Amino acid sequence: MTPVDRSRELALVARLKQSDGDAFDQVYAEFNARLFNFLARLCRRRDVAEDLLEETWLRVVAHASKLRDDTRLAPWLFTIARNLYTSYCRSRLLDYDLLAGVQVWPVQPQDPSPFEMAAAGELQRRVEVALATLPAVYREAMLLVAQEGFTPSEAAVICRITPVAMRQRLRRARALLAERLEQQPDVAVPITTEAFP
Amino acid sequence: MSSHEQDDVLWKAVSTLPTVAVSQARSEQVRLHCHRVLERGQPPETRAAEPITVGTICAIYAWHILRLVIR
Repeated sequence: MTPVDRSRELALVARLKQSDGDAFDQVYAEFNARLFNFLARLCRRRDVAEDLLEETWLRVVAHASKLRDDTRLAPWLFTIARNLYTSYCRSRLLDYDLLAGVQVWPVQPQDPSPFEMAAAGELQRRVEVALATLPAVYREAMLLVAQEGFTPSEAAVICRITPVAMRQRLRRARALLAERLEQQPDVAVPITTEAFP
Repeated sequence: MSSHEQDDVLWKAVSTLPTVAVSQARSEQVRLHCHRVLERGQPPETRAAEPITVGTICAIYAWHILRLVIR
């Protein structure tokens, strides 16, 4: 985050602490779609993701006044969402792995060419399927770092593990994803490149 | 993410997965709900009883039971 962005974030946090509706709207506009995307890919059920997203925002407004002045919004919001998801799984005694295979409804990127759509669409579909079969701990690690752009250290804080453990988790996630993709025919994805060596 | 990781084909494939769209109607509903909560303000903090108060109540209760048993 650039210094300008950080100062804006600090200002938003200060206003959120005062229950400022406009500040909340700005945070909401910035993170709502990202949080939903994360939750939808984690639980692979739109209805559950929507409920968890609503609960996430209600937690945000309930705890906004107790925020520390130097709070980083993105890790804080994703931590709330992730904790709610794990609580949801525990409350229903769900094994993360048993949730595999439920479809979500991705939106196509804006104005791709027909060729790009065919090529990218096929790979994306396969990656989507392979990602959905990963155990939740690996899936959330990949989503946080690869999709949401958190550093492994930030993702480690969100997942309440050490940065070293997160790097290890990311390596395993990547290897497992490549393995799952290999099991699907006609997919050429190199599995020798080690991410997070 | 380092350039090494960004160059990774698999990593790139995950990072460019299309976004799962959120329902606009539901989003607006949630936003308004949160605004109502914000406007209501924070609920008053619950006050825990002081240990000395709890101890006194327990002692009085125990004394009454004891009196009933003695009679």
